[in-house]
Amino acid sequence: MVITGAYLSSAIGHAIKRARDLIEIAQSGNSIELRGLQEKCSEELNDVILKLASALQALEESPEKVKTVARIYQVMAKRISDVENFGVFSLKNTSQDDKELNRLLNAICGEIRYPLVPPTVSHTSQDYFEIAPKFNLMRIPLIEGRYLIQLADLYHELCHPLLARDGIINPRLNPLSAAFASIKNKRGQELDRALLRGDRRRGSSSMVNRYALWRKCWVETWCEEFFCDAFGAFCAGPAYGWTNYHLCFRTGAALYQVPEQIPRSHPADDARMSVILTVLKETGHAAEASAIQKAWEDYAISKGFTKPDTFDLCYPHAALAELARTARDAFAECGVAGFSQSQPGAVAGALQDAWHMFWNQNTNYEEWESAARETLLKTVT
Amino acid sequence: MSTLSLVSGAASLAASFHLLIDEILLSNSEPDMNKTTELSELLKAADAAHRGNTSHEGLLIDSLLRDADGRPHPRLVHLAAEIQARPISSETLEALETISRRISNERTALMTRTLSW
Repeated sequence: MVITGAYLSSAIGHAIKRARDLIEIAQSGNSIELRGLQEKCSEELNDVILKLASALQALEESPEKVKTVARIYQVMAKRISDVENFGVFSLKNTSQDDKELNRLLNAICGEIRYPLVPPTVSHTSQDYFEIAPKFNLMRIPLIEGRYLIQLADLYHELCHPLLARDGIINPRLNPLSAAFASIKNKRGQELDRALLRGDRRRGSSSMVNRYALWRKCWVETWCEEFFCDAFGAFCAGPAYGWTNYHLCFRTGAALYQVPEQIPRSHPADDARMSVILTVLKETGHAAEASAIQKAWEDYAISKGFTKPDTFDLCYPHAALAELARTARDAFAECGVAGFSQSQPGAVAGALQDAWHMFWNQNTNYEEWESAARETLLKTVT
Repeated sequence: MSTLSLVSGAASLAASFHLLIDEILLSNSEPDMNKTTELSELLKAADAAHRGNTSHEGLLIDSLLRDADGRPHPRLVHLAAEIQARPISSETLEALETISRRISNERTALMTRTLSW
């Protein structure tokens, strides 16, 4: 423990130095679009420095607390690493594409009456579209902003901060918060009852464990992902359904996956599509929903995907439909503007047009997309 | 759509809860009353999860503390009361230490939870 204490003392000092260096870098940019991100990074790093200094003092005063100080150090080291990898990395790697995409994202937020400060968006993702609510930073792949076909996923990411618990202070979001908690509570209880039934019937222990696993997935992450899909469909309309089809087709992953032993961050793609289609049908886009469903089923057949026996137990259709309707009502109650086929916003309209043109075999889609994007950028200020 | 978007909310909440316990553990048996009251409320909220009427924080903490068979932590309400005593008993501090370790492990597991099947 003496060795660990000595190590921690130096490691904390080193972490404080790294955090200070990062603050210096974060403060050095001068782009208006990035000021919010600069502030978030600096605030986060300052808080980390204070907590590390306090842990260091506690270690000096009470060396026997070394285990607790070690845990605090690990949490703070992760926070520094997050600022460096997400916030400061994005600040150091800005581009003209970022400026244009930030204009588009701001326009989207205006069109849908987004109830929070719009996030900053950067082309620095090494993965796919993602958002870090703590930094109010969205990241997408390097040149994704040059194309329209996948941009409906921006709407999905915009929903995560609405459901994050940190710093939500806009009372407009109260109906959404209540709806989200109600669905999570209900699903948790349903799975608790299934678990109890399994226990009483002396069902196989693997089935009892599975219900426990599914409960963990639903409560910890899946409800949130389903709400974000519902938001994408509500705000971006059919374009979001096509974008999801496009993503799933591109990755080629199985559509009917059910966790058996370890928790999964995301629910099965077919369950997600079911939520998207329900929202589209319930918001007046039944014809487009039906076209997406046909394409989806055709894809599933072509790949030979079949539902396992446990699929409907893990993702009951009634639970998915209820979630979709509850989410749609909550978005409307919060004053979020849903997609209107007759009067679409400039960005949402361009994304629908993109999918119509994509399916039109008589058009050179690439030429059309390039021109449409240019026109759109001139439209949004 | 990525794992980061999905787990960062839950992981951040778990980290705050974990830090709150560790700050109480650091302050020996006479911690700041505001912090123990906050922790007490969170523990009570987690205990309410099985009744189907609790907060987002309560649902998450309850879920992270369940065992592999889905059984909730059995002593959350007792702990919520015991941490309001001064000085906090060594048994209670030990129980908090165990919860803190558990949440620390769960937080790490959350961050590495995979998207791929």
